[in-house]
Amino acid sequence: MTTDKKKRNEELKRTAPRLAALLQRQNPFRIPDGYFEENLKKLPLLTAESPTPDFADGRKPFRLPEDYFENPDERILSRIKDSEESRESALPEGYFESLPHKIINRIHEEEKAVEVRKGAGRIRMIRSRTIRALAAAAVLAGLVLSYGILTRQSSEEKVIAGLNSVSTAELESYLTDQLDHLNEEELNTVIDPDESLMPDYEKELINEDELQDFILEDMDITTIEDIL
Amino acid sequence: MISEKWPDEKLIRLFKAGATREAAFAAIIRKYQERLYWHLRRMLYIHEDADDVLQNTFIKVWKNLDNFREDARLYTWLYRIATNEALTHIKKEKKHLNGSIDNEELGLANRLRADEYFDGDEAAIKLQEAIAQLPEKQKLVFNMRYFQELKYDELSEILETSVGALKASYHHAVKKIEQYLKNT
Repeated sequence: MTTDKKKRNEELKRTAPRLAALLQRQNPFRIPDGYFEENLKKLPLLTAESPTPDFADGRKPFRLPEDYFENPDERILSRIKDSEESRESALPEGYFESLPHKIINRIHEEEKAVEVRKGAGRIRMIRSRTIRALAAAAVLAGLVLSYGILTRQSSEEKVIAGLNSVSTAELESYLTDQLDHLNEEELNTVIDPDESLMPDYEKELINEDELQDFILEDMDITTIEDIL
Repeated sequence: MISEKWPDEKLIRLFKAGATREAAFAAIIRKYQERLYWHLRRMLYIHEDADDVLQNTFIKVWKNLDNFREDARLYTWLYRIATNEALTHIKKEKKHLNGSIDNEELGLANRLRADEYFDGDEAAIKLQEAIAQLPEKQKLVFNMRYFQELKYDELSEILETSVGALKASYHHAVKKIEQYLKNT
């Protein structure tokens, strides 16, 4: 027994004792007496499956008929003639006579098949699983999208309705409260400190000279004396 | 006379030479027929089946040895042909019997008892049943590793599986057989 096998047996005894015990026993398979010697005698039968180019003693197994290479044309032509004759005789009896009838019958059958297809119900069941699955998915996607749009619209309307229900006084009070919480920094983010909200009236004020000119322009002397 | 003791490379060269084709082939048969036969017998159990498949194997070798590229070892190539032929035979048998020839209840046991070339007792039959219940690849690995004493790298070439996977396969096979023997 090889060292390798000894090691394997020892390992088997440790890991699989029942198996190891059975494997130690004698090989139960027997062969017929002289089986392997007989096999070698079958060799020619095995090699007959494929021809050998040469025999073992160097003889060539192929022989040619005498005068093989003389008058090859005659041989070839006669062979062609033979093959044509055999092709003709390979046809069934009465083939050409029955051929038109067969063709007409076939045409009728095909016409019938076309009519059946045309007349078939317009409603065709979709048998393909894939197509059905895709159609179901498309319907579902449409439903989800529609729901999303509708709910969005309705939520916007709700906001607007809610705002409309609030009175102006409530709004002012709310804003005032919020202003108290706003610090200067937050205000400045909204308002530019360099720019006043109030119009610059000082720039638009008329000076005294301009005013005097305006008054005197359209008044006569008598009116002025009356005032003075 | 061409001897079966000559190295494989020389036998292949003589086979391809033409004039010594049959003699070289005979030498290859003498060299490997017993190993291949026992490999097949362990897979197929019955002598007649192993004999059939062995003949088919050598016919395939005769037809294809000209194309053997010698990048693998000759005997791993022979084992691969024999294994494939055996698996083909098993598949045909399964179709013919319309069931598994290995795991059919009492099928294998009955066939072994009926086989004139099986000398084992009930314990031996039980062992064969335990091996037969393994998945095909595990059965191959177990038989070739234990009974044929092939190395893992040789097995890897024959079964085209990594050495690691083969070791795992052998280990699982041993455990499953042991479990089967324990339970029955």
